[in-house]
Amino acid sequence: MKNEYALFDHVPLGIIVCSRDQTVRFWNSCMEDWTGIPRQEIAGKSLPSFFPRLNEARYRKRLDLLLEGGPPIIFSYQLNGCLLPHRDPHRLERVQHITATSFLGKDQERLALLAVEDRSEVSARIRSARLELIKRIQTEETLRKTIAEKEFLMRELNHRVKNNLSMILSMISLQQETVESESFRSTLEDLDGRIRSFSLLHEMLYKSPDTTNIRLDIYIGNIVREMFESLRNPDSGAVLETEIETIELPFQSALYLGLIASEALTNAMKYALNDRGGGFISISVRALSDGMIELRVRDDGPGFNPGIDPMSGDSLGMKLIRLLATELKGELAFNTDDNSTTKSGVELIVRFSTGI
Amino acid sequence: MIAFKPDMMDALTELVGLGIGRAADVLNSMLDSHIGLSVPSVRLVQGAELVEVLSRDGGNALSAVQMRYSGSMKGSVELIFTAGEAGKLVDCIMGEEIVQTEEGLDALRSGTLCEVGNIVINAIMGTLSNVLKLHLSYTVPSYIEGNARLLVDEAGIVEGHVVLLAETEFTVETKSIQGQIAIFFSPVSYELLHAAVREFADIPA
Repeated sequence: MKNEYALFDHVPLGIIVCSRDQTVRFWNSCMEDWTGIPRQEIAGKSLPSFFPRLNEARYRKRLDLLLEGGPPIIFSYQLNGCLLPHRDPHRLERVQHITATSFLGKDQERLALLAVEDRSEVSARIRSARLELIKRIQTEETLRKTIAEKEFLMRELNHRVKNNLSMILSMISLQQETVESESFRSTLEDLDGRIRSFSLLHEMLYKSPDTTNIRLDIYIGNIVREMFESLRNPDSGAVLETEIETIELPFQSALYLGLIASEALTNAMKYALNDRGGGFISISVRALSDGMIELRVRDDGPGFNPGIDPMSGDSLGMKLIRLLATELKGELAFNTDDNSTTKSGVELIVRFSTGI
Repeated sequence: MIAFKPDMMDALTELVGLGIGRAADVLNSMLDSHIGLSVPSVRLVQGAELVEVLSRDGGNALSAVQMRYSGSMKGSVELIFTAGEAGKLVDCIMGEEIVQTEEGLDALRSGTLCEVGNIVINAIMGTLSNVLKLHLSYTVPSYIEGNARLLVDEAGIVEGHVVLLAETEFTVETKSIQGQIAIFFSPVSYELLHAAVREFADIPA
């Protein structure tokens, strides 16, 4: 074995030098370790006689081209497997990446230099990371499908609930026609309004791509406008003004806020407009800078009767408003002072945090 | 830059096509599955334009195999893919499930792409140098990834460089993977190429 290549015994690569007929001229110590073949045994012998796969045409052709002075070639592990395995078949297969180049040796003889990198350790890590990645992608895909199915079912459920509520509303409407008592008719009217709030919410949920959040400008805007139109005297000049910002809230919070708005509107129409020739009601919902949401329902009516405390009133409407404000973990207040911004009438204010 | 007349451009396209055909033969003999290779278009662009051309095709995350050459001519060759297409090619060749990622290739898969790129580049440059009687020597193939600017900088491109850009389509089973072969020529090498192609196509000066 020529010692002109002895330096290659000190590099962390397997190094083989071959002549044109693939006779081994040099075999470094790394190759001895990785194959179990000592250099004394392989030196001067044909490389393919130890590693028969190199005799296959696909390798011979490329090596021949290299030894004719062609460009460097690569044998990657993924495409070729382990081309230079350990002679003991029970030893762990090494992940080899081979780069072959040619050079001119002594007497201008064309020689091939094969540099063998051992990528076993990094390969094991990559394989396990890749398997993990594939598993995660599959899990994500399954989750996406499950969510899509759930959303479909939720939409279907909301559709059915909405249809059932529409049937209940029809029955209430039929009942109203047969009722003679004015107070019972009014009770049915209130009930109709409350159920309508639920019905509209479920309608929005099944029509929207988002089955969990509700846009307040659409939901509350529609409820109050619909209710105002159905309750007002068509001959009166009553006016409803709405200013509702585009805010999205989860289903439950939107429902509670919608119910409060419709109860407050019903009260205003009953007690503030109260068959006056005109009147004014305004409803606003906005997001405050501190992250709170604020609902205001204001009218220009005569205000509360003396001695009436709205915070402890026992009408069903007021009870509901207090209960729903508590559910929202919100603050409820009424402005009734003539010197306040309301000038006259009543202003209901509900503030709550979106964090519920 | 001296323009290639249409006849010369045809001859150059034919040579690249020949090289691609040889590359397909070698790839098919290396692999069990059939790989189709075609070059839908070959064009010459100024080096300065290349960043723009590659960026247009999703040049923020590119994977490339690069070899430098010297001898009769001096320059470098790159087989370039978007990161997604590179991963797809390796997975298709290996018959593995395609894992879509924009993050480039790991060491094992980049080794595979390096071998594929090595085969394609050797076949094309071998054909060009044999037919045009050029004597070239090459560096070992290396894998690089980055944006279009990095790939062009890695090719050592300077003012006046010309790039032969060949769109390349790999077909593995029913899947198609798009790439680009970019051969960078220094101004002097470009003139030599021009003269060699003119002689090959037997076109008077």
